[in-house]
Amino acid sequence: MNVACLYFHQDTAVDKVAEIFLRYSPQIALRSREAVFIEIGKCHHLFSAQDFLHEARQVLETYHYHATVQIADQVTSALALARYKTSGIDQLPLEALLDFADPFYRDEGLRHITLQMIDSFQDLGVKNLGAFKKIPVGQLSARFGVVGRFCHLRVQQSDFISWPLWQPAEIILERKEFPYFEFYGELDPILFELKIQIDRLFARLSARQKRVTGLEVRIECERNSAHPNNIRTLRFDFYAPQSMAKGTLKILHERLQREFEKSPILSPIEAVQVKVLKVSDFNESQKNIFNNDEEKFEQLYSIHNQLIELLGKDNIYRAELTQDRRPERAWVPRHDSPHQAPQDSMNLDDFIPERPTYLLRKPIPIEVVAGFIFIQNRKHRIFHWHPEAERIDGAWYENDKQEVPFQLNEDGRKHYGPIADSFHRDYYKITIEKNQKILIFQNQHSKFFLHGYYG
Amino acid sequence: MNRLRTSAALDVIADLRRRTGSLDLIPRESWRAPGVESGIAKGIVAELLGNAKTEWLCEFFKTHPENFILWCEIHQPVYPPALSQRGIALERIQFLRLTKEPYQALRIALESQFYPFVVCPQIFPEIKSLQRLNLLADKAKSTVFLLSSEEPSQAWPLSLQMEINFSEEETFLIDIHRQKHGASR
Repeated sequence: MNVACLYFHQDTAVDKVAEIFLRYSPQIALRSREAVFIEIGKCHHLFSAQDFLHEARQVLETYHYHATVQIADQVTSALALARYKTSGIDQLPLEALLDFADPFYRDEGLRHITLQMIDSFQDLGVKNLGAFKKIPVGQLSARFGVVGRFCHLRVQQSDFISWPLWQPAEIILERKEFPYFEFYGELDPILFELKIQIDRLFARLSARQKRVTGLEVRIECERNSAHPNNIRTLRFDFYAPQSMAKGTLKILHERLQREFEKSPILSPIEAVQVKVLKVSDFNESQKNIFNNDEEKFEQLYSIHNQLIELLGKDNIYRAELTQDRRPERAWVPRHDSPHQAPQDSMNLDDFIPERPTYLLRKPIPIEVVAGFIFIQNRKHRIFHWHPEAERIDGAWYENDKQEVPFQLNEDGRKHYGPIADSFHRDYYKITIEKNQKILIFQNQHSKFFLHGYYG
Repeated sequence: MNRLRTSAALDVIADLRRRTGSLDLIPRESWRAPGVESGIAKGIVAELLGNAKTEWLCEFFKTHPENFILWCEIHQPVYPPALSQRGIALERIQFLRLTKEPYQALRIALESQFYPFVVCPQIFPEIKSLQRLNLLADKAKSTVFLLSSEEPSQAWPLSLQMEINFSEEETFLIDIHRQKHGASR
């Protein structure tokens, strides 16, 4: 067995730290608010004890945790060595016997008797575990009964210790309270705190192989008469799952900036809290060493989320072609993942004449008279009438009541007209002054409409 | 005679540059571009005018098929099937409808350094906005194409101004109004 112990000299929420270390080993146990034990012996093919030690220190530093990391053969020795920062068991003070007797802080009675035993031995001049180990086991049993023998076995590391079950919390949440009202409603200090919290949240989610799709940021302010709405709750629904703190923080920044401009915070902030609302599975396999496409797309999703936050979901899209012959229905906007190749789409580019680069939302009625074209009462000379024409037509199986997008009333409401008016069209490409090319069509009533222009 | 005059003028310009302490410029990296021998520099803001500017852009994007494009629009959106017909894969393009805060949206896209090509209508009358856009484009090594249907802008941050029209033979008539290629060391 090879056990790593992360010992926190200050009161710490160790369950959150343990979640981050889930990616190193699934066998983890906690000592309430003091220590995390990680069994790393079974993962020796993945990393050595030295590698783990190095990485663990780096992780703790990244997420602003202060702890001593120690690796030993047993939970008991790892805990005692980390707490007292010594290199060998024999040099440990006699108080370390408490850690050997009850490493998981489970038995108050045992701790009480062990403390009495420690006091007695200190009176007898036994100062460290090296001296304790030399006491014959028979004498210990005679004087302290079963507890004496138990402690002897633990110090000799010849006792089996069962690990208590630990499971990560259901709700993933980070919170910090500010008891001294360090700052008012400025955005920067909040962002600094949010960055720390988001970093930790993402590390915890990454260890669970999850990505976040919904977050809630809660800012609690002091309640006073000038500021009745003292709790601000902002909900973020990410269009693409997020696993990078940097991109997420940018999204939070944008929203908070707008929120603070709209309604400034008028009383001191008491607490900042981030809670994960929705997650999606994320299979984090080994990194591809030949390309960084995954990272690139992760960044892209982050930008996509930022733009959605700024402009709204409907204003960001990619275009996908359809098989409809009507120009206005030849494509549809897709609001899903950016730069995603369409599936099973048939490209009809080679079968239809070249379409204009700009299509009018609503065709404009025009008049074509003796070599001239009148567009909104302006006369343009026709220089060239291209011989190619495209005829599109309705079909017997198509519904009479189909929406025709360009048949809009003046007030912009959709008008369901007879389909024959719109569906029988002969398209022509013509060149007018300054070599400007336009696309016009003639309907079955021989009326002309301008539908788009080239260039 | 003309050549002599040109060389004298260049000497005068070089002398003035020395006296004013102006920086030596190094040529920028550039994209190959149809009909533009010098290419289109990376990291600049370019203004495109004329009645064939979008057609020319399609040709340009077709020659660089591996790069993503951010296409911003406000009033008159480009017609995607036309882009597909002109050889641009639609999955390369992300369309943005700039309903509000156009500069912020462009800033996010440019700061990400993900889009080497950004197309946007010319909606930046202020020099200050163009200057900021220029700095962002320079940092991201992206080329921002501002599509304009009015007179060429006088704003100095625009490094390139091209008027592209159709000729009678349906080719491009390219008139370069301004071209400032070069970056400070």
